[in-house]
Amino acid sequence: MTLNLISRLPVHTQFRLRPLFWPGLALSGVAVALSIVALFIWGLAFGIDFTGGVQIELQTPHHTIDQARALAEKALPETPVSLQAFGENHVWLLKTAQTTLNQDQILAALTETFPKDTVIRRVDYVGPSVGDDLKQKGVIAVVVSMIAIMFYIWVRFEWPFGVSALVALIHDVIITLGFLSLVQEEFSLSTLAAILTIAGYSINDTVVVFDRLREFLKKHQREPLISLAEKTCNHVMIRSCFTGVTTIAALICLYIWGGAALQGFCLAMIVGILAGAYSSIFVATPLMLLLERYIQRTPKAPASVV
Amino acid sequence: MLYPKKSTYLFCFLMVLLGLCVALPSALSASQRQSLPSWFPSQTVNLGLDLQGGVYVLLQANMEEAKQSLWQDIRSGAAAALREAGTFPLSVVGGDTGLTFTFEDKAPMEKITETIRGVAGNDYAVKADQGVVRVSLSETGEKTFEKDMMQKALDTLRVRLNETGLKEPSVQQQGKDLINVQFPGVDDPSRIKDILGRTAKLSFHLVDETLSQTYNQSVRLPASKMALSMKREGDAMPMALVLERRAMVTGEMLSSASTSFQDGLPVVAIRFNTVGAKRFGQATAENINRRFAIVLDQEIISAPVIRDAIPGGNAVISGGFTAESAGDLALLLRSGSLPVTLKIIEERTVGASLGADAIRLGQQASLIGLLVVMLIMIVLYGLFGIYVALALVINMVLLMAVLVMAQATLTLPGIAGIILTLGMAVDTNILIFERIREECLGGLSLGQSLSQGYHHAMTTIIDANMTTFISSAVLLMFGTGPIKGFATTLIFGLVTSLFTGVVLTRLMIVRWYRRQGKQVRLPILAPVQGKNGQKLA
Repeated sequence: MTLNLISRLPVHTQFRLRPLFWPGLALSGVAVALSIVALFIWGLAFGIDFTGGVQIELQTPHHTIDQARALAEKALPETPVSLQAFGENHVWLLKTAQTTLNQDQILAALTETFPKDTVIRRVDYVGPSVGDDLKQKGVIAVVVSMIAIMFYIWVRFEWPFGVSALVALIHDVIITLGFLSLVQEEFSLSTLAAILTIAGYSINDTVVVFDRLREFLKKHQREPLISLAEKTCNHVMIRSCFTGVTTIAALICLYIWGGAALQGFCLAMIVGILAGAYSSIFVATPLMLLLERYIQRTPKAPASVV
Repeated sequence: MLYPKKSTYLFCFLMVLLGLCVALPSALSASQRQSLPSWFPSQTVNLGLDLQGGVYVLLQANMEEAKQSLWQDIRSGAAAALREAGTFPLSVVGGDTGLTFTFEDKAPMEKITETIRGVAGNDYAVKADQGVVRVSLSETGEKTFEKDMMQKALDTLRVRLNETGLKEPSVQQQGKDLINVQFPGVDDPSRIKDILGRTAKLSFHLVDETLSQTYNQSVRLPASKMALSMKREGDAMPMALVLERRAMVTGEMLSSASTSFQDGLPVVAIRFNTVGAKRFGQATAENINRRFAIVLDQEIISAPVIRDAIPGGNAVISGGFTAESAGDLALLLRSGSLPVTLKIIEERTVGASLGADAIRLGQQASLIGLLVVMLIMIVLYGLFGIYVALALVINMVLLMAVLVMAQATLTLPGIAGIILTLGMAVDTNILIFERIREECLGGLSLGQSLSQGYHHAMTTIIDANMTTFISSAVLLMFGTGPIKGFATTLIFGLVTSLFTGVVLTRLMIVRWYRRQGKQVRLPILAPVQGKNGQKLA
């Protein structure tokens, strides 16, 4: 490995992005459509933060998952329970939907059936009203932050930029949700936090592209917009790649070494960041080009001749 | 930019030093902290329940029920006042939202309205219209009522929890009708729930023996009676007793309650205040050989027979207590009853070992993440990368220090926020360095490209950080508990990243530049363009 790798890399990449803009946009359209379909078919695998119910994290040092599941079913014969591995070291996550049994009764039944060396690490009870309230709050939070970001972009850029950035942002969020739906990763409170963070963070790449494009527009007024856009994307390419690499590297470390509780968060963030990097070049930029073309075509008041 | 003031260096140096001092105690063990000098900051970072273990309970106050009992009070108060004034309503209808009195046509409406208004008080809207008087809570009245109920409930809970001797319980109102209670370090919630959830409304009622004997579910009782169940050890079915609705004495008339022993069994000894003692003495004197029921929260604890008048105001509640349950009941009675019923709608228990595991994993992941990001930066940018790596370490220290100083709570998602900050912080530097490379390629001298690079990258850096800041702020507004912790670390992380990523790295690079002299070339740019940097040497 050589230090100072960057000095071997060009300052600007020279990709011919122009022919890729439209297929890239189309691909994104398809991905968004598929995500929406996935969301309709499978929905999100809401965790008990949202559905309500009881969730118990327990550790049985000498049981396999099947044995643990059999014990759980024996302890709670009339309640539908699910038991899955949670990280390593024989830690299981036991979930029940809303039942007539309360949490204390469930715990009592479990301690009776499971062997003495079982450790109950965590017990969560969430009432049904709490979950609904959270879902509602979550949706409001996502919408409010999108509106706030849109407003900021609106103030900082002209409207075709603002609209394109917002579409790219919605694209990132939908793709992430679609991915979570596809792999049926549990959607918990921290996943919601990831979605909101993606709303704020994935747009960074778009902001960087547009900031630079705005600068070029001032400098090179004669050049056609599409070639400026291509140039801009090439100018920010190295930065986008390496920023993505470091952030994702940090998240992968968290995924591997940070424990099972944060894996959903990491997964959502990684997908969102990848989507964000892609959408800055292949969604926001071509969309902005389309909108600008539309503006050019609509007749305006005659501009003053320079 | 190339010649920063001495004061800038001094300021940065002091900031970093302060950060180190504030963050240090959090990195030490308790015994190591002991050996620090007394003037040294000793505060450590606040750990959320998910990291230190403990019980979190969210309670919801039943306002509807509280209002219904409020209307009951006003109804009987108004009835008494009207009786005194010599008018009788034809009917009184009470709903959840108010009361409607109907009078005959010739009734003196003005006087009636005044009387009812006098009973109800200022917070109520009393409207008279053709023989009908409606009493309802005004909007401000409703708010005051709810606020008042919540305040009383919070006060009562605080008194109860203080007496349990638990370590630093926290009781806070959340939203309009929720109470959020946290017990760090507790891992068995059952006793706490007993203390929290019990309304602890105590009253003594006479038993109607004749009705009790024939009572079953289908019997309609007169309005002045009520049936309550009594649970006794060994009984399969709880037994029901019919009681007078009017209480002989209530828990409000108590002056003290404590645990005591009778025939070797734990009991709760209670003492009435003057009013209570008088009423209890009178009631017992008038009803010798009858039974009375001791009712706690709509359930009969025991129903002893009155053998003698009890004049002194002392009584004993027995009913199969253990020493602990007797102690808890005495505590509940001392602290008074809750004005509203509280229902547990969310409850989370985290074992201390899980919390410790989470901290260990979080530290491990942060450390590895830090190393990996540092390594990437050094491999990418060489010397400049080392500066960034150094800035990253300082960033982590400062972030910790800010969390300590703000007394923010570090939660498990908060750790995720720290690691995310790590990854995002270097974005600032990548933006700057790429810009410097560009300016240098564009033909600017080294010094100019350094200063222009920092200058031009700033707009983008601010824009990019702003959007992240906005969504974190929204998270902070809407999130609860652990998620708030995430938003907090992310926001603080943005601020410290700007300081270390922009200000500190700039000082380091400027120092390097001035040491090297003007002839040196930019190390992060290939010396000869167009040849793929092969001539690097």
